[in-house]
Amino acid sequence: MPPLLPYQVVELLTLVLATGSAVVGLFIAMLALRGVLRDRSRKMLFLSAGMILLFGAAYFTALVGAALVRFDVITLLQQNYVILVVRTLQFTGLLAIAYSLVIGE
Amino acid sequence: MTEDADPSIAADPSTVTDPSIAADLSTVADLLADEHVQRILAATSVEPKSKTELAADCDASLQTVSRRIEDLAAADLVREETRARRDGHHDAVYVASLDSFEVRLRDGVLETDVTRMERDTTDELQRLWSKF
Repeated sequence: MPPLLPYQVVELLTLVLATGSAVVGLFIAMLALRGVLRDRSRKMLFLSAGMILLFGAAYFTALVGAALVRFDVITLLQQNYVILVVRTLQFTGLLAIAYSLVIGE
Repeated sequence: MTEDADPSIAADPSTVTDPSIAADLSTVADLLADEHVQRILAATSVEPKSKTELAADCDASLQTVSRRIEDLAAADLVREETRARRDGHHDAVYVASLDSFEVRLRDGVLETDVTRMERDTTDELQRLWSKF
């Protein structure tokens, strides 16, 4: 069966959407950081930390991991370590965002 | 051509008495002279307040507060926002947008400067996040 979309298009679309998510995520993180600097808001501190972990650190690690596999620096099996790091960063980021919702200013 | 009519001097904003600035001076000064206006501005600078809350806080009738709020909003010294109630309806609340009002006498010209606080996206994010 022929693919619905050419694989190169799929790859490009995935990269564009992932980059878009990182840009929007980091923009929200920047707004929250401004709130931290302006009002010393703890809620904004944890929100920005969570957003940076989710959309900055996790995205960057995943990107580096994918590049390392692509250029045969690491094997597909070794990539699992990278995925573990990415999932840990995402989980920690989400915990920070959840914490920012329950704490007071 | 006399020096007063020199267009290069007239184009310099620091030497021109802008009619809109003059209007600002009398409007803002008139408003600030009112005791109720002072109380409304003080109360709404801390947190958004509805007309009913302001009437109680400022020890004034709802009608008085409504009239002052209208004048303040027209002069862009307070702005209206909406606050969600538990029953799903919304209350109109008011926030002071006046930051400072300066009058300076410089070289025979009365200069006034009204600074207003702009609410930016960071404020909106903080407001939204604190509602959860």
